[in-house]
Amino acid sequence: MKLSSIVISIFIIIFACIFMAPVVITIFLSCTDGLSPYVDFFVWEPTYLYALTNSIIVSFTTSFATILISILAAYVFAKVKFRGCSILFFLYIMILIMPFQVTLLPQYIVSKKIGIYDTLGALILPGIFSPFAPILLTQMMKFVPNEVIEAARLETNSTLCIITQIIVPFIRPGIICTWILSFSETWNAVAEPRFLMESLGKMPLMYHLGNLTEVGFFEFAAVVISMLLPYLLFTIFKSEIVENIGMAKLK
Amino acid sequence: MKKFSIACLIIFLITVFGFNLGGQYIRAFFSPTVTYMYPELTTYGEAFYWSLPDATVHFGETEPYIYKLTLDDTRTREQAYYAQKIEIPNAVYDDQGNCFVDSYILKNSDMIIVGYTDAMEDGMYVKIKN
Repeated sequence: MKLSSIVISIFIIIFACIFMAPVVITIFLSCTDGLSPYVDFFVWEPTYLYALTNSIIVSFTTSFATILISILAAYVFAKVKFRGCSILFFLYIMILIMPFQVTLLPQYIVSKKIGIYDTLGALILPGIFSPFAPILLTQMMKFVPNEVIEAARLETNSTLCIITQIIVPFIRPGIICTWILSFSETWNAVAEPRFLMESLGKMPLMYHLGNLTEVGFFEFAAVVISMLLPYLLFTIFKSEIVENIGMAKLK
Repeated sequence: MKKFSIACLIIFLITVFGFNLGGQYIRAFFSPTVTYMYPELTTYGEAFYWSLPDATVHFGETEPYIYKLTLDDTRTREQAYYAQKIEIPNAVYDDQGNCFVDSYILKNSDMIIVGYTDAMEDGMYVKIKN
């Protein structure tokens, strides 16, 4: 082995240790007191358990609904030619570029007006119409050859059939990747619940973790549990995510 | 690895939702005893506390204050029971000073506290043993 590759390997190991250290320390400290912090989390601290359930409900609902709506929107942006298409897409990008704090106040006013303030709907509804997923899927759908769609048109007139049977399998890794990113975005949201909700019992887990005042074994266990679901999802769909990133590089 | 992760995910979701739905029953089953109450109550009043289904309260001739303790899931373990002062309109006293508390109150409380003083405040949270 060359000296240069040994040096590079050592550097990589050091950097990996630096990046992994907080996670390893958190897991280690959560287990120092045995399983009691985890028992406390699941049995004796229902606030956190309810918050975790709220997070799961909000994140899954938002990300699934986002994907459903974004696929349809992306198809229109990528494959349907109509007047104002590029302007509309430009507006989407503008909203994406805008800091999310800008839209928080209008979201607060609208949620009050339509009566979803302080409900999980206040987090789910604005999250569904996030511009990020349609933009990402539009770029992916542009690479679906028009010839394939035209060939499918000979078989069926239903656009929904073409989307579900031709386009969705074609960009499946991209959809999964977008879904995971959308899930993570909703899962990690702290500012939105702070603005759009009041009741502590309806807050997602990240809000509570963001308000921790004590640092003990229980808090570390809560952090570990909060990491678990995104980590599992990433592990399950790792190949699709990697494949999608690879595709993006090739393009 | 993928199958293992899917299995872990399913177990995780079942655990979370299972404890969410059944946690209240688990907490009630393993409910720890009340070890600390409002100081005045323990100093001046004779407090009796017990878990259901004990229905008979013995407190002598003095009319007591009764607090209904309800398990509040939105609180931490330290402040699990929400105390609410209640009237006992249907309480029946026998010659021995035993009071038979209204079964409705017992059914709708996870625990009740009886004392001679009015030291506990309505709506306060009662600390329980850790």
